[in-house]
Amino acid sequence: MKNSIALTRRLAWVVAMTLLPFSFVASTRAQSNPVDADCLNCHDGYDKSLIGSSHRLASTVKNPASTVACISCHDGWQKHMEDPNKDNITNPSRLAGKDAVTACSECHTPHRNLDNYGFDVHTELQTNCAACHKVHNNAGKLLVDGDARFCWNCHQNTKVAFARRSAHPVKQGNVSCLSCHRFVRKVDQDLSYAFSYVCRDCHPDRGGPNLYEHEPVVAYSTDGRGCMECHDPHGSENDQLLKQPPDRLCATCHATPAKHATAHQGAFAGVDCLTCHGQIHGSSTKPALLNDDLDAVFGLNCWLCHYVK
Amino acid sequence: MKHTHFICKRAALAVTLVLLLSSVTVASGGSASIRVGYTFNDDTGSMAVNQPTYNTYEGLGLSLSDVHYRWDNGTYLTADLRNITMNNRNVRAWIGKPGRFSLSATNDQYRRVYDWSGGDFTRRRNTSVQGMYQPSRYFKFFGGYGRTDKHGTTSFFLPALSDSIVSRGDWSQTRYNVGGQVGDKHGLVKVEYRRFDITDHTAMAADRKADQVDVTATSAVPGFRQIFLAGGLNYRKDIIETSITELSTNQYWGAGKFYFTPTLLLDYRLVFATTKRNSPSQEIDNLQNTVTLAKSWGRWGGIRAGYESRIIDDILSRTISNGVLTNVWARPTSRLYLSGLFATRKADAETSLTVLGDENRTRGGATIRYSHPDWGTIGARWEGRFRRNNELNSSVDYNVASGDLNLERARYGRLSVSYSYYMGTYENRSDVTSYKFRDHVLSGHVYPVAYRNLTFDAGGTWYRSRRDQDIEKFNLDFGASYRFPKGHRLEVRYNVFNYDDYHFIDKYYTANIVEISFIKDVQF
Repeated sequence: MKNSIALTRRLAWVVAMTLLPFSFVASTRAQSNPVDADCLNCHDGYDKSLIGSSHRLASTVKNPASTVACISCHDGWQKHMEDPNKDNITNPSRLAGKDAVTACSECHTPHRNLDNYGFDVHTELQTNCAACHKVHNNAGKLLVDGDARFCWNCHQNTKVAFARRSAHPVKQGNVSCLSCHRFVRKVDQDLSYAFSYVCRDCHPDRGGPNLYEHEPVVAYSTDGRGCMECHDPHGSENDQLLKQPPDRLCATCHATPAKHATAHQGAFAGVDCLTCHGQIHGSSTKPALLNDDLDAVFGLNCWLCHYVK
Repeated sequence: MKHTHFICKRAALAVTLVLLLSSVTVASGGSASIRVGYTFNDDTGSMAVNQPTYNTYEGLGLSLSDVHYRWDNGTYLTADLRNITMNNRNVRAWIGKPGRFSLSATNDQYRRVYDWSGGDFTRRRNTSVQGMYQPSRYFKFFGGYGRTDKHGTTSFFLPALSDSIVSRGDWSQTRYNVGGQVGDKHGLVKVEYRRFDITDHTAMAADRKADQVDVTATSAVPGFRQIFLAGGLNYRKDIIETSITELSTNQYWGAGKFYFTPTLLLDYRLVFATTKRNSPSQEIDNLQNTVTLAKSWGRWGGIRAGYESRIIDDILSRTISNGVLTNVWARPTSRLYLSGLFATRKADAETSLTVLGDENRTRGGATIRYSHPDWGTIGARWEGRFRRNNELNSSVDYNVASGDLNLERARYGRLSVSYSYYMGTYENRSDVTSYKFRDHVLSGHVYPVAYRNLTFDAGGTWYRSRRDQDIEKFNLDFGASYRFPKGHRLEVRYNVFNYDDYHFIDKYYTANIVEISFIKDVQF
């Protein structure tokens, strides 16, 4: 019995001695860490700019999901409390180089959780997270603005492209950069395979399957083809975002058939390919991708020559 | 059908319960801006040529913007409801408790005009609802519904007939998605199912449906934090309902990221995709391997170089392409940023059955940007894309050079100016003429600081396309806002649009658009 009491005593002593340094550290920190209220004494209202996000201060809500405090992101508070100069405290949005990413990656894995396979060119170029995200903001995903205009701060030439003759209605606010560039299903730089799916989300009538396909449209490959073979989605000097006018675009790959050059240079001079081959994105009825309503347009003139198709 | 209604009812009930349980505490306040405005549009010319004014309507508009409402328990509501009463409405709303649940909804409409008077047009309408519920930080469930409708008539003038070809389109697409995610910051597994139903109301032969499953897994290797692995599967099957034509795709991918040192990184990516169609029978396999090595020197700069190989094999023909890519960036001072990019790929068609044959594609780019913390930024950028195909005797040379200036002084205001020059030369197959364009785009906007309660801004965009096209268009944009006491504002915006196609006498358009709005900022 005596033995067991002695053993218990010794054990308790060992445990106490082991825990003592930790309790000391913990109590020291608890005494000297500023609470959010100390920060808000000078930085009034900053708590409200966090209230709609996961970064809301734990001290301002009931049952917080995470314990975020001002000093979670702003390091160097000891010196700042003594001398409240802005140079004495870390502002993650002003960091450059690797620090620009690691400040947030203490808690967040940059874009890995968004299916981007951990390969984000913005992260590789050490772009500060604040270029796209504003922490003191209540917008969705903490983006700087809901229309993704922040992309244009770096991608100025793309911004200007939307002012060309035809473009997606980005400036009108119907779509934004993030409608297509979603940081998801990004396989490679050309994105042809993924893009086919992205374009189909809004243009389902243009995708396959069709009984008679147009090879660049379906582009069942990862080889940089797809919709972008004929269209420039950021803006074009041609109608319908085409890279060339319709009378010349097809000639990128196709030579004009000899019979077209003779028969169609007469009464139908000036007719471009798409006038007759209107089902250019694929057809379930015409192997030559001809319009279904050619009869209605041209009467029976077509069938004098094209009686087979 | 009854069963579907039942499921929808239950889903709606569940969402409502989640909302009620999460937002049962007393509201602590919010704010919003109510805008009532009238748009006057005085235009002349063809409504079909100037894209920025396609979706403009004359009339009375009501908007509710910058809506923020928060509850004490952290639930938050935001909304931006623009032009609710008009045909160009664009509304979004979001409610949620970060880390717990969210529900968002959007609806917008867009009109595209095809003829002189605006009688032939198509209208696209998008609606979507997305929800998310997160019972703990490790689990997340999400799902939603979306619908896109497009209907109307298109018309194209055909000189040969001296008449227009008019055709009618009317289709709708519904989308459903549901999925779940489990994981933390070290890794996750995500599964999502998506369903698409496309109905063509003018031709039943075009009706189709598609099912899609995406599985993604990412993880750091336990005990080896310098290794990060990812992989997944994307499956999609499209079916034309009338002809039972099926198209299915399986795409498998894998990726690895290996940090030899904190500044030396090796990336490897693998994609294998196989696509099958049943009628006519066709099967295509794709294999892609990419490996890159990246080295960085703190905040001073970095370089990345890589190699890429691709194989496309559809049994009858086989194309192999090999490419290299490299990009560098440097920040010699905290204010100066430089970057460059070069990539080239050569595709060899092993058999002569492919349409395109051997092809070389090259692209390059360079950026320089200077940022001054007190003044703003100035930058320039060049981007080029080149394509050569000797078998088709065709080539593409495409270059863009841009410059931009952004000045901001607290005392005076903000000014942004940008200019881009586009050069394109397309040498098509030998029996057809080539195509060339030289485009200029100049745009700028100035926002002076407010004078007492009056703010003013002015800007404009000028566009000119030369060579084979001969188009000039511009837009001038002026705005003024006066703030009355007690949160009232009067805002006037005046826009001028002009479009001239000098090759066609009837392709011109001029519009003077004035929008007068009364805005009330409210707190509740």
